[in-house]
Amino acid sequence: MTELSKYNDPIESYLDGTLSAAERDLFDEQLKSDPVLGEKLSERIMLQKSWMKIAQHKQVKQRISNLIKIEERQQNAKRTIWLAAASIIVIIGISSIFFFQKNRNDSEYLTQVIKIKDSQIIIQGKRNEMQKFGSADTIKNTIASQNCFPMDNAVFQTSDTITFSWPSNNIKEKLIIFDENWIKVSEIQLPKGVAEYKFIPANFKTGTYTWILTPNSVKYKFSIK
Amino acid sequence: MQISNLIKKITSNMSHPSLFGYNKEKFDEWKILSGILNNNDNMIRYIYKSYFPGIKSMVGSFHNLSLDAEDIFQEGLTRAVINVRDQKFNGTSSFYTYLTSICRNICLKELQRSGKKIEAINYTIENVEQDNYQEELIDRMTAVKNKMDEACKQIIDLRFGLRKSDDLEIVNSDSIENMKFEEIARQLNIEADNARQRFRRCFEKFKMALSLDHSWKELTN
Repeated sequence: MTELSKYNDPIESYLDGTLSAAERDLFDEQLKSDPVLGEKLSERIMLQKSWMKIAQHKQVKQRISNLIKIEERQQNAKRTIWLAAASIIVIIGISSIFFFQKNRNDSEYLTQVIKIKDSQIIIQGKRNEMQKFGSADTIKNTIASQNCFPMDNAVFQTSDTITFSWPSNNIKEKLIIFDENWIKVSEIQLPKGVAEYKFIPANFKTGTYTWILTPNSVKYKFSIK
Repeated sequence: MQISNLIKKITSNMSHPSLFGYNKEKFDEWKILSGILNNNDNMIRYIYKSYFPGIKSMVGSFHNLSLDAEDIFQEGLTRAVINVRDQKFNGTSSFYTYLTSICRNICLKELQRSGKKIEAINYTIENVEQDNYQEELIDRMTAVKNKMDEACKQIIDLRFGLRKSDDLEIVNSDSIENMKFEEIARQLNIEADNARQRFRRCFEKFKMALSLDHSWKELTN
């Protein structure tokens, strides 16, 4: 029997609890008489406890690590929720700025229209005054130009749909479009009673065009790019 | 079950009863310690959430550390939790102070180990963990154990009653339990004698590696 198994085997059997009563008594006797056996047994128990402590440490650390990961995930999720909420608030904020800006533009436009109406009254007054003095020239009615679309010098692409529109109380019969050389490129008979006409300049070359509505309309320019 | 009891039961299982996690709840020392003793997961998360920022900034005050703040926090909290369970924490300071001291010690030991200068004069390793010596021994043993091959670690684990099941029952290192070689043999599909010899060989290898470890020798002599 080697030195190793001389101590190891009885110690392992003793720790297993598989020794018979007689073997156990003998082992207890040997423990008293052989200090090396006692030392080996203590060392074996100490190392087992330490080994288990390492396992306990590893297990607790693993559990803590998992919980920290869960907590971090939850914190990240919360951060994402807050970020999303903040983004929504920012988007709403920016949208409301645009919304109010648009309303402001609308109200400015309305103010302009009112001014135009006022100027029309003034012009009308002046016209009456001029008629009164018998030397009146034709006075251009500015409201017509304000209410016709597209605005002068508007720019379009061939894929765009151009919506020509005019005041509904002005009955128009034809929409005529000329190119830069004053060659008629399109003449459209307008349906009765309409105040707008949609047109796709698909076959138009790039350049500047002039459109007029007959009868009695001013000329407007638009470009195709 | 009454509705109030049901609500209590639900909220007790939730770590963050508030909608966006804004939780003002603060636990007193007694609740923290009893949470640790009862293996309350939410308490560990609470400790991390509440104490990690402070410890991170403390760790940040040490330069040239090879470990990051989270590693140190995890190691420190592990030691603190085990010490609370083993009743080694005497409660003379708050748990936060205790945890901070352990983490500071880990930083200092790490600096010592790596041979780097400790810049602040008043940094001394405090004896907060009562069994500093024991901790050192365990540290060395862990290093030696980690160098062993998996088969050896497995048979020693089995013999010492570990790896019995996959459940997360906390290992109790105070009571020792040995799995019989017949059972080990059955699990590994080998002869009992073979299991006995294999364990003996691996355990001797472990003891030999320990005896050859320079730091272990310094600690035990």
